[in-house]
Amino acid sequence: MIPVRYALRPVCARALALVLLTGIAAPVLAHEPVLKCVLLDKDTVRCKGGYAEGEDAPGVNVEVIDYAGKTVLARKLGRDSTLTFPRPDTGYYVLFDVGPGSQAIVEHDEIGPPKSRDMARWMRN
Amino acid sequence: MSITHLAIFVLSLLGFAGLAIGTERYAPQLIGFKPAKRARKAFWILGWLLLAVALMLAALTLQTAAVGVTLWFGWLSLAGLALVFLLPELPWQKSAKAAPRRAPRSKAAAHDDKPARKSRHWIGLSLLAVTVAVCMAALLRVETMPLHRDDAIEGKAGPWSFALAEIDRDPPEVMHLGVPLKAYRIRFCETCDLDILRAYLKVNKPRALRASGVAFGGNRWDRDVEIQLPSNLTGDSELWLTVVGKDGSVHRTSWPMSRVSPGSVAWFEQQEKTR
Repeated sequence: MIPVRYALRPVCARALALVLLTGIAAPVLAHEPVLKCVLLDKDTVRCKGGYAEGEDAPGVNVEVIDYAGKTVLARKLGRDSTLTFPRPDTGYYVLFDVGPGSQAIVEHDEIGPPKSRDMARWMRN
Repeated sequence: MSITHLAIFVLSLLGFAGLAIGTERYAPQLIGFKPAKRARKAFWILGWLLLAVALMLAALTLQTAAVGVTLWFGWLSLAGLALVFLLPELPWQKSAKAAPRRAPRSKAAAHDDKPARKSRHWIGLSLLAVTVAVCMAALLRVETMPLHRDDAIEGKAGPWSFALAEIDRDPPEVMHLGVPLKAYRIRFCETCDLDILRAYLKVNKPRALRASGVAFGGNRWDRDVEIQLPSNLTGDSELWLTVVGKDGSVHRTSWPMSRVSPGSVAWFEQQEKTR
């Protein structure tokens, strides 16, 4: 019996590692587009797009669309993954369009001056 | 539920014990004597029967048969391991240990061997204990499938009925750029599922079809999506579902966020307060 017990030891260790690993792993849905917009000053908006896991998205299409459905502005994100544009006078939303079914939308009423608490470099003029 | 698991484990353990008693080699090790041939045969059959009963119990009473069979294998392994560790501890094993079949190489070597064996013994036992503890903790943590929870919404978009729920009821996950994300799952009825081309989800009413939000992933049955939540979300904000059928028809429906994701609404209220 004793040799069997020792032979089983590495098996036990592996089984334990497996149980621990699968127990800790959380469900992951990666690569979701995220978009954040702030008011640099009362006339200028800056948006930064990216992906949930922290990647930037330079060159991805961004559109600013007014509430009448007219596209005010259609650009691509710059090399720093941001886009700066003059604040439209009417209601609008910013559509960060990565591809079919993959987008993030920010409405104008969400866009305000950056909070000092989460002030990042790109939010400054 | 825990009773079922316990029953599966005990039945497996007894089943393995039966199998062991059924063999000429392990019967003396387990019970201290060798039963008659016919008795051994009976124990052997009983052992298999008990394992089969454990399997039946697992397959019929746990969520699905597949889950039951998988858990049965798990408990089977634990029962087997328990028996392996138990056998050398039985009192009538001690005499066998005291008189080893192999002669010790030398007195000194035998003496050196002793502490090492003792520690191995404890490592083995603690590994087993940790495994059991982790299994128990994992079992207690098992959550009901999102769409089977009480808070899942049964709804209808046009002709298609569905169930929708957030994947977990926790606050949103704050990701890149400080954007909060929340994951949802939808499942259309069996007969509707084939008619669905795509479904999209978004907080606040879509202002255009092409701005309907993020598409649910997967082409059949359970479809998941993770969406960005607006920074000014309140309980009255609406979650909008847009369903596009293969026939080109578009149907929309919505719910207040307080109904779908109360945990996230509370989180936003908390953020507002600490601002």
